[in-house]
Amino acid sequence: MTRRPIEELVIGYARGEPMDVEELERLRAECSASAAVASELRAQEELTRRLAELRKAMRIPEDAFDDDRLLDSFRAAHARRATRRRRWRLGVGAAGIAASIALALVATLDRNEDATIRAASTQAPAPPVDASAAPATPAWAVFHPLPFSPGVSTGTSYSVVRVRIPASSFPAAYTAEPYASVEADLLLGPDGIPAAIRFVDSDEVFVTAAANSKER
Amino acid sequence: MTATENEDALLLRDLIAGDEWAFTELYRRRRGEIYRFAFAMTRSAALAQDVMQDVFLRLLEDAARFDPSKGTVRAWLLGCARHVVLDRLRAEGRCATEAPADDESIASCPAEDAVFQQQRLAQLHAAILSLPMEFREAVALCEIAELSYAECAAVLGCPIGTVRSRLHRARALLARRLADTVDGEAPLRRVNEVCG
Repeated sequence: MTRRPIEELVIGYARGEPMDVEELERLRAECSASAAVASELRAQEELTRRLAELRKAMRIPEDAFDDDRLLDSFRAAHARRATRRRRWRLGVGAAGIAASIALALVATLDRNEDATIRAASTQAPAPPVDASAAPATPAWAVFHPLPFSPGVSTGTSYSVVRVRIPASSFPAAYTAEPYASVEADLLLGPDGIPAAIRFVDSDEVFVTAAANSKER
Repeated sequence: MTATENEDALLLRDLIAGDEWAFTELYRRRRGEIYRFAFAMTRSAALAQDVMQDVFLRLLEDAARFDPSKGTVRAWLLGCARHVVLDRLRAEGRCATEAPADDESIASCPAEDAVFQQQRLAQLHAAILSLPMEFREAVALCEIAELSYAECAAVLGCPIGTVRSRLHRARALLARRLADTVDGEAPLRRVNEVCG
């Protein structure tokens, strides 16, 4: 254990810091032997006393605190935090939906094209937005039912939303053009849940991805 | 961590969850220390009040950033107060050592014999303000806000040994500066204990 310098002991003692017996004996001896150390100790004790007085005298003015203003600020800040949390949750929700759609697309691409077309024609004989789909229409222009969706039925009104999906959502297209995108129409049911998807252009990336999927 | 520090941490957690009572309670518990620290650093009651309000307004936004592994809520709040004080002093060009002439600091006492006492405290406060900034901070945190060396080190972001040496050097300087004004009344009781 290192020996503390006497100046440190003097100030430590004056501040009322805990000291061990050996240090206390040393301080006592130094005070007896040296008038300067004793004088320094007196000065430090006086300083401690004055600092305590100063601390006590620093009374807070009665009118120093505007409690109402602070409480108003607290309420406003809490409301702001709640809004931020709600927005964040919405963002996460939207990202989740986008991810689900991307997964659904990958699953759709993995199916056999004929089976897909057949399924679409049985489940969705005449979706209002795709009534003109002819057998000669390219595969990417037909609505494909999405897995885990309630399916498409007649007599229900649907709306179509055009979306642009990053090609990177399709694992098979990764090597081709990772920054390209695919344009598609989503068939949304009355509950807002996508029921089917139709690719609107023959984007090379998508075609490559679809071809790769079929080969697998 | 002491029981009070634990309670502070719980209050902060409830505050983040939007508990108004927790905010009020933490505010009432800690405002005095923050005010005293700011006042010791600036010797301006108005500035100290502003700092105190600023700290609690910042707390509303930044409460979630509190990291208990880095120190207590009290030290964290005083750390915020330190930043606010330094910003204000910088903005006012008062970062250099100084001994302001105004005497709005100490609560006034009507009694005549208290006037002398008030003068002595004002001298001490002026002496604190004349210290270099790092010494002033050490005195304000350890002696006025009564933080431990460890808490002070957390506030200042330096080792405990540095805090100790700064405080000791500050006290030595203060004692020297006040030596001329000491009126001879020394606290001899404890000295006699030591020196016989």
